[in-house]
Amino acid sequence: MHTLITHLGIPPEAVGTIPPGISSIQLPAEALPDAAQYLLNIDQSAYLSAIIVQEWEMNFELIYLFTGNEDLCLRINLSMETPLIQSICRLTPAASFYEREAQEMFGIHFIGLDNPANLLLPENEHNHPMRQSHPEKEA
Amino acid sequence: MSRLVIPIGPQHPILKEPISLKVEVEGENITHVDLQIGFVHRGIEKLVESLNWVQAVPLIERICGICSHVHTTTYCQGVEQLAGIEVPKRALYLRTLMCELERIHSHLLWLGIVGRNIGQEAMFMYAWRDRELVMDVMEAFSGGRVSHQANTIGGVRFDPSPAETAAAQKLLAELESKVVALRNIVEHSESFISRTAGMGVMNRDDIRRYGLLGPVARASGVDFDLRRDRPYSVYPELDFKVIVRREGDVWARAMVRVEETMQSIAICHHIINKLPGGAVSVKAPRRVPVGEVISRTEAPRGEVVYYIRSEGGEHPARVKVRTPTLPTLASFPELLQGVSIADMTVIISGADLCIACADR
Repeated sequence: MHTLITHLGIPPEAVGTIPPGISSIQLPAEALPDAAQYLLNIDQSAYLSAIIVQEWEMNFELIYLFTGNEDLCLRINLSMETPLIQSICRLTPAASFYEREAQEMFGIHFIGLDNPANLLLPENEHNHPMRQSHPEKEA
Repeated sequence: MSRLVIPIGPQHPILKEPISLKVEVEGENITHVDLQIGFVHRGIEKLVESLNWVQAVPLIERICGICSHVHTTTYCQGVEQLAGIEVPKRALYLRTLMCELERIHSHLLWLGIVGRNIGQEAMFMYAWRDRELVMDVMEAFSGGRVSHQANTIGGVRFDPSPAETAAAQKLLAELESKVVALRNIVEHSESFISRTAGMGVMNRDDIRRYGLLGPVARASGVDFDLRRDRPYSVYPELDFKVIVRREGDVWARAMVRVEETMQSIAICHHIINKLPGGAVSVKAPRRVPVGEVISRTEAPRGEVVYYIRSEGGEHPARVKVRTPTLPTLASFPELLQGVSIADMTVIISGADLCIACADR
């Protein structure tokens, strides 16, 4: 992790921990492909475990969980108005299904996603049901 | 040569749960696969947000009908960490015991399905007959065969007497001799080996690129098991061996699973022998402090990841569930490329899919 912090020039306040002790780094969206590539290159056992999306009051947050010799989360904030980020499915095909799910459920747009079709929802469903604003919330 | 598209699923005899595969073949060989899932998507992550912390447990249990207990274990473990709850040792041992019983039943269920799909009806009959023994143990402990309702936040909801654990050990000893017989079939039967060896081979690089997990990864030489490598619950106090093979084919996946079944039976004996006394649960608060946690456990099919966030209220603000079948499914289009259509059945069933888990 320390080499990644140096490689990307990450300030100390962007480094944190998610219990029970998984290190996390806050990144700008444009730094993701470089960081993911670097992580996968320096640790030959590292793989993408999950992409977690959550909605805050003012923004979306994406957490990329990498498992390897040392587990690491990359945290990225995206604006509500333009939730746009580069896909990493060409770096690791494991990202493809996670990104498709994030796209249909939250309306995050992944640039360069190999297959933009819905993964879990019917093909004509485009109302992002995991958003807090979705009317089914109270059901 | 003309191309043909064969639709397989959502309902099809080779699938135990619904997925849809549009398989393009040229002659006998597969040239392209389109995969569609989501037929049993229930929106559980969303529904959980409208329930309180305890109400969410039975809903989360219904994510899966095979590994229901491991889901509630992962969820409860995460919430307990968030709330700072000290779970009694006896509860952790009993929770782990159910996890291992569930692994035995899941692996035997899978072995039966593979047997059926390769034309070995007898293996299906034997594996499922033997699986009844472990189902009986789980039912005796929890009262349920599929949904055990064994977990709650702060502990477990069952407290077996010494007579009940002794009866369970007797059944497990009987099961052990039967699993040895099944392992001998997998290891030495010419007809089993000829149908599974060399099928659906994945190397370590494939495993890593797709983030594959559990027995599928361990059958391709990836020596990783959360129980040992990211120890949780009482696993650091238990002796067990992580089974790894290097062949990477369906036969290796079968060997890993039957050996893991043997290991799980040994773990169950070990747990029962050192089962501590005391309470099986503590009272959990209605509100959980603000915070987030990543809770991970080793399910029968590999690592289950739960991300749980609390805003300090009575409801979870976010529960994200990542199950091991999802990356396995993502690898299918590449894994089935160039494979004979007759072998597709073996490869699909060899992966041990749990669609309800993947769809949530």
